[in-house]
Amino acid sequence: MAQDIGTMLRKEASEFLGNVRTLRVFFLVVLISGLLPTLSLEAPFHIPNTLRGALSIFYVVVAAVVVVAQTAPDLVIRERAGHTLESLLASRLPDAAIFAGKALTAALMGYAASLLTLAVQLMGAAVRLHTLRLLYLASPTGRWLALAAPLVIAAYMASVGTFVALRILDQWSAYMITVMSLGAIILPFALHWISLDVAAPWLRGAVAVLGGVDLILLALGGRLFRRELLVLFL
Amino acid sequence: MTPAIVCRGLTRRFGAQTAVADLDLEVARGAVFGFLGPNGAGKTTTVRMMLGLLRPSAGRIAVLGLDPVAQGEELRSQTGVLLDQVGLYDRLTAAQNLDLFGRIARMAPTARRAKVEAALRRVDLWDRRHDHVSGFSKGMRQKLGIARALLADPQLLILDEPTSGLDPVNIKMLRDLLTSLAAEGGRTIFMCTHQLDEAQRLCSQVGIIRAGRLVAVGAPDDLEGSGGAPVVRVQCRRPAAGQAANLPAGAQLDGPDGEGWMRVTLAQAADVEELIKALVAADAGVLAVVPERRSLEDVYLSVVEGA
Repeated sequence: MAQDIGTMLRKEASEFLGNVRTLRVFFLVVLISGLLPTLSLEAPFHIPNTLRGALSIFYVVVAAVVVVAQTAPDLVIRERAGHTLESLLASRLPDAAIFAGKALTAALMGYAASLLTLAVQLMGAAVRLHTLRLLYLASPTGRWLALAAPLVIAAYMASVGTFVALRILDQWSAYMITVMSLGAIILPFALHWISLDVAAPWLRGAVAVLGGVDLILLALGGRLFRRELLVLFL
Repeated sequence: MTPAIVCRGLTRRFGAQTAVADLDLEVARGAVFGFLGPNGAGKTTTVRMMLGLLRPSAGRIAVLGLDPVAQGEELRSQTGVLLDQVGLYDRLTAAQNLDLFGRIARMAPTARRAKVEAALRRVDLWDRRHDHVSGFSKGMRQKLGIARALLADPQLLILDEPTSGLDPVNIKMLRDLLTSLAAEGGRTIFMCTHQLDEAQRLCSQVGIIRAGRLVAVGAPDDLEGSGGAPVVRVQCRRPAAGQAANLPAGAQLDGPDGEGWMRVTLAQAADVEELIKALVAADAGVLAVVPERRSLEDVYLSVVEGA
């Protein structure tokens, strides 16, 4: 199975890197998310450091969210449009490998976007502040938020996005449902069922829980994947 | 040895519509089977069930002795497929496309490289191996699709409309390739096609499907000689006397042409003897009696159109 997932990852990565439109969106998202916080460093009005840090982290997560929301449905729908999906389904690849290969590619691309955004933010800070150090990265909380949160959120959205795209034909709907799936994470906080805590131990726990949910979604997606459903939609 | 493909009462319904109905079919190992039928007859649905991409609504199917649904992965690893849409990755080169499917087939790197080269050479695309598929013509895509299907040296090759949409030059080129594949033997080829001459030339057995039902199956020669009213062509020195002869009941005579040939449609094959006696009795001067064989096209049209 690992070999098959590796084959799928390799294929999806070469497809992703060979697609000019996708790459353009990817780097545009990275540049915007990376440069906006840097520009705020010289805002004409005073922005508290805590808010500046929160904004920077927000952009790191946004970069992952936007890239995953675009990539996950795109990896499926492009294959459907190019009639390559049926060739893939007619191959010996196990169902779970096809699903996992697509979901993991989308998650990794999203995480790569967040890391590149972070790098752009660091470079921006170096140029503007003459230091590589960003305030939020100095704290354990900031590091957890900037490095771990995008990964688990990207994996969550990638699983949902791939699952949805495999079942509906319209790319825009798949994109919207993927974005809206974030609501399921935000809702418990918005309804005060869970109170948000920015302490590092709480964040570690939250990341572990969401990581667990990601693994369950990934396993569930692979298990619920049905060649027949895809063939009926071809 | 078990047959390559066995279908018993195979049925597939989509809601109220039945795409394949009660299909009984057996394809021997090593056979080249032509699956003929008009658009929407159920050919692609049958192929999809053979590959385990669709579950039958009823009946059972075994391909290479395997259940396509329960043992789909094992079955597909022994099967090469060219679907009606070739489905190649446009952003990859010809070699990369094959390399991907070599990886999917879990070939070792050295073997994979050798197989990719052999497959590309076989379809005359080795010189274009570094070209992106997006620049390929339809004929080149079909050839690359066949190379991909052959890559893992499968026991069963399933080709869905391999020459569909090609110009005459590419059709000939692809037919030559298919002819050489068929001549190799040892491999079962299941080919869906509209091209009757292609089926006649390549296939050892053909089946005709209409509205989801298999309406005729057999060797092309057997099918040509079967079905429909028997027809004989008779050449007489005195055709007028032949026209006035007391023909067997139900016989219909057309002609003659300028050379005295007449076409007689009989009610049954056994009436030939009676026909000759009648012509002799009428002193028609019988010169020749030739049974008229129906072409595969005649058989196809008669079963598909109910003619």
